[in-house]
Parts: sequence; C-alpha cells; structure tokens
Amino acid sequence: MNNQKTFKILYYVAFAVTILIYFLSSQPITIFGSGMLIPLNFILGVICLIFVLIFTIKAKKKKLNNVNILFPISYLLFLIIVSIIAVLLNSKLIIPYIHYNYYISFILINYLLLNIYSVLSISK
Amino acid sequence: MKDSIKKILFIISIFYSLVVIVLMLVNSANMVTDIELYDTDENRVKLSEYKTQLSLLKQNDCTNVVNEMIEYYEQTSYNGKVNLKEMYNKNYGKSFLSFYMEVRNKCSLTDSFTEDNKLATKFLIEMMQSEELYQRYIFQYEIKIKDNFMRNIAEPDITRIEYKINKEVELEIISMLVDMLSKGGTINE
Repeated sequence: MNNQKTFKILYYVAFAVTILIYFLSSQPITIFGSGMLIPLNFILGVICLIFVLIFTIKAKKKKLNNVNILFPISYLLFLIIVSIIAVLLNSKLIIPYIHYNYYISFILINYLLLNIYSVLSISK
Repeated sequence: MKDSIKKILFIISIFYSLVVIVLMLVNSANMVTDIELYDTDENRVKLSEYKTQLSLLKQNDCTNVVNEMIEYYEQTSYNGKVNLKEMYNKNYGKSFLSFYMEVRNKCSLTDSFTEDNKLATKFLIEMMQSEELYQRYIFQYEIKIKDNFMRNIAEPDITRIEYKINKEVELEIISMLVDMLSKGGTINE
C-alpha cells in the first residue's frame, strides 16, 4: 500500500472519528455551559468540513505530494488521548459533561492544521 | 515553499498536541475535589438554643418553616473534609433564599420588618455565599496555568471564609425570626 493511499485512509479515518467525537460531545446548553464555545466549535467544524470537501474533490483527480503519514497518526493519537482524559475527568468534576464542549475546540484546531496540510499536499 | 509550510504545520501540530496534553494532565492532577470546612462549636451551641426556644413556642406554619431552615443549617454544618461534588449534588438549588417567600407569607412579615432588619439583603448574601462555595471549582477543567499557591492555598482559604460568613448570616436570620416569634410577632394562627 503506497504512502498516498495510506495517507488518504488515515485522513478519512481521522475525519470519521472527529465527527463522531464532535457529535458525542455536543451537550445541551446548560446555564453553566460556556455559550461562546458552541458557536466557535460550530465554525471550526464548518471550516474543517469545507477543507474535507475540497480535499475529496481535488484528490480524486490529482496526486498527493510528499505526504507524511505521521501527521494523521499523531492527530489520531492526540484525539484519543484528549478524549480519554476528558472521560476520566468526568467523575472528578462537580458538574459532569460540560467540559466536553471545551475540549472539542482543542481537537478541532489540531484537525484544522491536518486539513490545511492535506489540501496543500494536492499537486497542481 | 509548499513543502516548508507543510513541515511547519506538522511541527506546530506536534508541539500543540504535546502542550495541550501536558497542560490537561497537570490541570487534572491539581484539581481540588475535597475541601475542609469547619462550622464553629459556638454556632452549633447558638443553633441548639434557638431550636429549644422554638420548640417551646406554639407550633404553626411559621415555626415549621423556621424549623426547616434550622434543619437546612444542620445539614450544611460541616466539620472536616467535604467532597465538593457531593456537596453540590446535595445542595444544588437550595439556600436560605428558597425559604424567603415561604417565610414572608407564613410568618406574615411586614414590609417594615423586612426593611428594618434588611432581611432581603441577608437572604441574598446567604444565597450568594452558598453559591460561591463551589462556583470557583466548577470550571476547573479549563486549561489555565494557575500557580500552586492559588489553587491549593489561597482559593480554599477564601472558600472557608465565605463558608464562615454564610453560616453567620444563616444564624443571624434564624435568630431574628426566633426572636420575632418569641415576642409574639407576626404569628400565623
């Protein structure tokens, strides 16, 4: 399996896991919820989705140049570790679940970096 | 040019991931989950006296409400380590302020009595101090580089002071109401 194919597979796995984590973490707004983070996460999500669409459309016809499969792997590791810490923290917190929306923004920022990298890798 | 931007993005992502994970772990390790709160023996003795005084009066709706407030005081009178989550779950939405309208109606408190004794203010202070006890610990999950002194010494100290004020205000309110009832004040027949 060549580097390009592996990168694409890992990229879409990262996309699927990110979407799953995003929807699992979206809690109803509570009085203690940080209201500002919900629009921020939504905006980040939309931007990432646009990048995914651009990548999907362009990468069908063109090759990827010099892709490093460590990037999606490191992102997936980061996502898994952050999710595990967030789940373990849940029992310690006074009000459970409200921290998920906060931590998802860190995940989406890192995911945005991966998306920019992926789109830049598409050859002209 | 593109390749160098891609390398920079990868390095930034790795650095960012490490920083976020380390900060999350440090934050989690430094989280305050228990706090030591002490109500004084002097307060407990006074409360016991008010309870005795109240039991000697004719029982009615007003005395029942004051008894409920005394019961609430007793339930929130701590003498050692308290788990913040358990405290929050037990007392969420409760404070003396939740008794305010009942006290006003069942004890037929007049506006002048309420104003002269600044009753509304005292109930509000009590409610705010009750909320403050755990408010600062609710958002502990936020990644902030707080120094050890703030988290482990200063903030718990502030919480203990707020708790002390909270108990004193509660006792003052109970004392005022028992005193009013003892003088035959506004008893609801």
